[in-house]
Amino acid sequence: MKKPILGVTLYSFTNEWQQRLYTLEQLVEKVARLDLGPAVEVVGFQSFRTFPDVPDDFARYFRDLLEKNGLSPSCLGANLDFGRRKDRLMNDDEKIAYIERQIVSARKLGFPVMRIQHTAGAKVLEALEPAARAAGVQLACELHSPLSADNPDVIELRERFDRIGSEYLGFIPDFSATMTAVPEGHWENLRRSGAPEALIAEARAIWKTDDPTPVKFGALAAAADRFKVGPAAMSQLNLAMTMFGHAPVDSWRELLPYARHIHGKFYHVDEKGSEPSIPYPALMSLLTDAGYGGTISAEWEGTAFTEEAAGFEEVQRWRAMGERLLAD
Amino acid sequence: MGTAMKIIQDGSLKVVPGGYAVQARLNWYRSLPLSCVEKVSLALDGAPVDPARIRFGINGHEYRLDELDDLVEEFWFVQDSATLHVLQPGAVAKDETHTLQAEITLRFPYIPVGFGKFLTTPTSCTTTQTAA
Repeated sequence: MKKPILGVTLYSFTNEWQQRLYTLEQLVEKVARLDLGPAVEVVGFQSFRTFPDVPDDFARYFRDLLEKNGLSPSCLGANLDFGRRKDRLMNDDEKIAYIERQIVSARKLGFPVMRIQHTAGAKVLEALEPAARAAGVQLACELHSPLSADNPDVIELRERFDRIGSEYLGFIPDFSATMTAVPEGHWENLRRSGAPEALIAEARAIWKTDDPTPVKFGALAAAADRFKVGPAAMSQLNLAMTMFGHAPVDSWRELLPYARHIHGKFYHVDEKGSEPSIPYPALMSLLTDAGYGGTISAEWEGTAFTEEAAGFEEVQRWRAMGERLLAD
Repeated sequence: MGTAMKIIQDGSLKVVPGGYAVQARLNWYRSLPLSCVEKVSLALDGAPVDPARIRFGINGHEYRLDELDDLVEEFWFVQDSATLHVLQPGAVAKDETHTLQAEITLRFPYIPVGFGKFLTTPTSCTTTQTAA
């Protein structure tokens, strides 16, 4: 029976990286030393100074670095910065060119999959399929919260993928779409930004509704206005709605045939070896039942709540949890 | 990263030709184009600094704040510091202690929050430092 291949995204070490505690080489070496591989994912704009492009000699250096550490590239995180100009959005040709540059980088660096945002849209993705195919890089839209299987954008993409029928297009499901609670760390953050308990209680209730995100933003703005909180707290409130989704675990089932890679999002694995806000036992058993044999990155996002350089410790706990659940 | 991040580095206040400078950090997990640095503001001992006096130094270049909007292909790398250079000779002298308030607002150009609008987040910081 096929089993998922576990690995890690260097994004989990955002705090370590931002505090300049590690170089890229040191991060990779520690991943290997702690047995967190073999699959290594990298966010291009986080780890590579010259991104969206990479020079040939750097690409060679990076491939050698992974190889000599017994690791393999899984997925390159690309970004569609379609709002990079203040005065106007990118048009489709500009979107295609911007993503194509990153496909070239993915190929040079040896990544078989490249993550892109769904905001690229079906038409742009279809136009990019030949470039992805030629590069041997699967182009996959991250289905981060709030993009669950029943989201209209996701349905449209899926229909387009069905019509094109190419293994070079697909999805990267992210466990943040199927959470059972907002991580406590997020509410803690809001308290620190000066949000009163009553506002947090309202935000919890708004999170639990099935309203579309813009409606939730509206409700939050109205609540924040009543409690007179500042822009920092307001942006934290909005983030809670987009970062943490609460779709049922079973909704992944119909998307798995399109999965090219998976983001094993988590916020904290506790002493008992469980993630209080994400139903890992159900998710892992769904993946094994479905015979998913692709890669899953441990993606620690507790960096949203703490400056602590706790990435390696958290990923080690995630890894132990993942191996235990897959062995069951 | 996050609300607790100090965007002005400790011990970075320095007297430099033409005025003074501090080192600023990017409060995000990935590099951003300079066009996404929406706002940079500083106050010295409570007095707002005229934005026209601020120069943004990065990648060996130095820009006026109103030049940043067009710089879609130059990036502020996550691990790099930007130099905020204030052209105000004499405002800060060596060994003097000053309080600086800074605010940097970033636009995340891949996270839309409504049509044509993107998640935009300010980070502020107050720091008291002795100039080197």
